[in-house]
Amino acid sequence: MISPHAPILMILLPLSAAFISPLLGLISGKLRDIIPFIAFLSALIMGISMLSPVMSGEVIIYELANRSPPIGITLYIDALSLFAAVVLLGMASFSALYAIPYKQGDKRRGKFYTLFCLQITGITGVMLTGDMFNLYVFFEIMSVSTYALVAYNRKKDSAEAAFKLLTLGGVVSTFILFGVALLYAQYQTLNMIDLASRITMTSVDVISLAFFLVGFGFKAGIIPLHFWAADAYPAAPTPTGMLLAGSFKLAGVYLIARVVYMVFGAMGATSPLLATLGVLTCFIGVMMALIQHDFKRLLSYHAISQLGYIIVGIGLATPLGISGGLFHLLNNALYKGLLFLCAGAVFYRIGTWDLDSMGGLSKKMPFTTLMFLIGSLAISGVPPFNGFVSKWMLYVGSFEKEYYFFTVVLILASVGTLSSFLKALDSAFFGQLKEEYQTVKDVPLLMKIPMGTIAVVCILFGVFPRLPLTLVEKATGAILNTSIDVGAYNLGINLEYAYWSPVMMALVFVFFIVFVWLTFRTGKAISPKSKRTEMAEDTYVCGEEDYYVHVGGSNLYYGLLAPLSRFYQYLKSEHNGLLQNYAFWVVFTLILMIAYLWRVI
Amino acid sequence: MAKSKSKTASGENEPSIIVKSVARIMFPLAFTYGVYIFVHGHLTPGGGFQGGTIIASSIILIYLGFGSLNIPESLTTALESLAALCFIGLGCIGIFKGGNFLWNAVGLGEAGTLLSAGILGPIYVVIGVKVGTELTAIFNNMRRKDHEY
Amino acid sequence: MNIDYLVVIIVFAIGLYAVLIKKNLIKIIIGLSLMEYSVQYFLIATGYVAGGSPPIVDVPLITPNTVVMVDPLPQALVLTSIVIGLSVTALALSIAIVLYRQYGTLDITEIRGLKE
Repeated sequence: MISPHAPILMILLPLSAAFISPLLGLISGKLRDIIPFIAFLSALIMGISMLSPVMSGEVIIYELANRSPPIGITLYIDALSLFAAVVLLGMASFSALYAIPYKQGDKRRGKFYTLFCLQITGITGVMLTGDMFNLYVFFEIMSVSTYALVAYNRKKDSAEAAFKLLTLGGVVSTFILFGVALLYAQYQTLNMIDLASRITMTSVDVISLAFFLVGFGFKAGIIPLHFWAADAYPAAPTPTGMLLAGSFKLAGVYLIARVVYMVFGAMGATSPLLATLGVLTCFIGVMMALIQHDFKRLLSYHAISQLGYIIVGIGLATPLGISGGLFHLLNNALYKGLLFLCAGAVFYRIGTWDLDSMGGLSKKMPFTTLMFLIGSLAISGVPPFNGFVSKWMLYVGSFEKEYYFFTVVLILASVGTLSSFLKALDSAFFGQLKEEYQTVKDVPLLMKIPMGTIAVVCILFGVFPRLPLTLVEKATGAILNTSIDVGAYNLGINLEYAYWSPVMMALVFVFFIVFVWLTFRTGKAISPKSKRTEMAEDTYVCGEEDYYVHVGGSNLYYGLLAPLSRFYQYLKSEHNGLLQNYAFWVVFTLILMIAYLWRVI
Repeated sequence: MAKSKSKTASGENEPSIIVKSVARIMFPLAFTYGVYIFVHGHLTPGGGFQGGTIIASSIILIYLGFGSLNIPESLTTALESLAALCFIGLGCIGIFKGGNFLWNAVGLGEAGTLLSAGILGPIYVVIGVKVGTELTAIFNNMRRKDHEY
Repeated sequence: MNIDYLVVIIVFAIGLYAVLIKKNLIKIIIGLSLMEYSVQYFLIATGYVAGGSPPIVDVPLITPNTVVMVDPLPQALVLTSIVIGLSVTALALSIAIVLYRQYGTLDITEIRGLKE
C-alpha cells in the first residue's frame, strides 16, 4: 500500500514539523521535544513504503502542480535516491531520539528543533528532486540551516567555525548556481532527465561540470576542500554533529553520482580524478587524525578519511567499486553516528572533550565503552563488522582495476585508523580512573536506545551482508544503467564472496573473544592501590605514596610520527585557521578541475 | 534646527524631530503599499517576497524613529509558523482534491480581476505575511542587548 | 562579446577578490553578496530577447501572442535566488555580531582559535 503522494510527503512532514514545533513550544515543552522524532519516523515509513516498486526497477516521477516536464518541477525517485533518503531518515530518527535527553538542560532548544527539521527537509529534498534549480534551492535550505546549527552554541569556536563554513559555503553555492545558469543558458531546460538526453559536452559544459564538482565536493569533504569539516563537526551540537559527519556525506556523494555521472554522463572522464582525490583524502585524513587530542576533532578527521574511501569507490566506475563505495557510505553513516553518540555520551557525563584529561571511564560507563569498542572495530575494518565487508569490496575493486598503489594506500589508511582509535580508546576509556570521575554514571535510556540499535545493526550487516547489499546493488544498477548505455548489467553475481564467509568470520571472532576472556580471568588482578609490602619498591616509585599512570592522547605515537615531522609541519601550516587560506584552496581546486577536464574532454 | 541630544531610557541618542515626524507619516503609507503589492501579486509585478520586505522596512522605520518599540517574540514566532503552515495547507488542498501538491484546485477566475489565478493569490498573501514578520523578527533579534551566552 | 557577460565576469571577480584578500568581516560578507548578485544577473541576462517587453500579461491587450516578451523563467528563478542570498547575508551578519562580541575584533586574521 503506497500512497501516490508519498514522495512529497517525505519532504512535507519534516517541513511541517519545523513550523509546528514553535507553535507547540508556546504551549508545552515536552510535547515539542518529540515532534522531530515522530516526523522523521513517519517520513522514513513513507520512504520504506516506496521500496518495493522502486527496487524492481520502476522509477517514480511525481509532478508538482500537475505540470509535466520540461516545464514543471518533478520529483524523481529511483533506487539511488531512495537508498540515500532511507539511510538519511533512519539516522535522523536516531539522532532526534538521542537529542531528547541530551538537550534537556537547554532553554533555547525550540530553535534547535526547528533548525534540525529544516535541515532534514533540505537534505531529503536534495535527494528526491529531479530538477536542477530545485536542487539548488534545497541545497541552500540544507546549507543555511547547517550554518545556523553549527553556530548554535554561540561560543567562541562555534561562531568562528560557522563563519568560516558560511563564507566558504557561500562561495561554493555561488559556483553551483553559476553551473545551473550555464546549463540553462545552453539548453533552456532544467529537468534532469531532459538535460541528460540533451547534453553534448561543449566547452561551456566543461566549466559547468567543474563548478558542480567543486560545489558538491565541498559538501562531501574532499581534499582540498575539507578545511571546514574539522572545525564545524566539533562545534555543532552532538546530535547535529553525528548527522553532519556520517550522513551529510550522503548528500555530497549522492549529488556527485547524480549530477556528474547521470546528468552529464561524464563517468569516463571524471572517475580517475575522483579516485585520485579520494585516495589523497583518505590518507591526509588519517594523518591529521593521528595528532589530535580533542575527541570530536579526532572523529571528524576520521570522517574525512572514510569519505576518501567512498570517493575512491565511486571513482572506480566498476560495479564492484561503486557497490563498495555506496555500501561504505551506509556503513560510514552507521558507525560514524555511533562514535559521535558515544563521544556525546562521555561529554554529557563529564563535560569535556579533551582526551588528555580523561581516563578509565570503562569502569563507570561500561555500556558506552562497549559501544565505542564496537564502533572502533567497525570503522577499522575488522571482521565480522560491516566495515570489513565494504572495505574488502573496495580493496578487491581497486585491485581489479589495476590501481595497485591505491590499494596499498587504502590498506595503510585502515591501519592508521585502527591505531588512532586504539589511542582514543586508551585515553578515554582504559587506564586508571581519575579522582574526580568517581561519581559518573552511565547515560540515560533514551540515549542508550539509538546507540544500542546502531551497534546491533553494525554487527548484523557484517555477518549477513546480503541484506543491505541487495539495496546497494539496485542503486549501483541505477547509476550504471543511466550513464553507460551497454546492455543490462548482471549485478549480484560478480561480487566476490568466495574468499571468505561472513558467518565463519563471526564464529572465529566469538571464539577469540571467549579465549581472551578466559585468559584474563585466570590471571591475578594487580590493583594499583594495593599496599606495598616491600621497602625496595620505594626506590622505583621515587617515594610516592600513590602513583597514577596514564598515557596522554597525543603522546602515544611519538616514535612513529617523529620522522614524519616535516610532512606534519606542512600539514599543520596549511590547517592554520586562516579563512583566506581555505578560500584560496577552493579557488585553486576550481582552476585545477577546469584545467584537468579541459584536457580530458 | 533644534536637534535634541537627550538620551532615552536605554542610553542611546534620541532620534531627532525630523526622523520622528517622517516616520509617523510614512509608516501607514509604506505598510499599505506593501499590502497592496502582495495582494495584487498575480496582476502586477511584485508578489509575496517584495510586499513582505516593504512591510518589514516600514516597521524598521518605526524602530528608527522611536527606538523603543517592543514586539514580543512569541507574537512574531506564532505569526510566522501559522503563515508557513497555511502555505503547506494551501498546497495540500490540491492533494485532497485529487491532484498533486500545489495544484490549482480552486477555479481560475477571470483573468485580470482580483479573485483569479487559482491558489496563487492566497499563496502570495501568506508569503507576504510570513516574510514581513520574519524580517521584523530578524531585526528585533539583532538589536537585542540581552543575549544569553 | 556581449556587454552583459563582461559585467558579470567583472563583478564576480571583484566579489571573489573581496572574499580572498580583504580582512574585515563585513567586507568579506559584502564580497560574498556581490558574487551572488553577479550570478543572478547572469541568469536574467540569458533570458533576454532583443526588443522584448517585460513578461507581464494585461488581458486582452498584452499577451504572449501579441507582444514579444523576454523569458520569464529566469526571472522567477532569480527571485528565489535573491531570497536565498538575503538569508545567507542575514545569517552571516548575525554570526559576525556574535564573533565581535566574543573576540572584540572584526579582523579575520585575529579570529584563529581553531588550528590544525
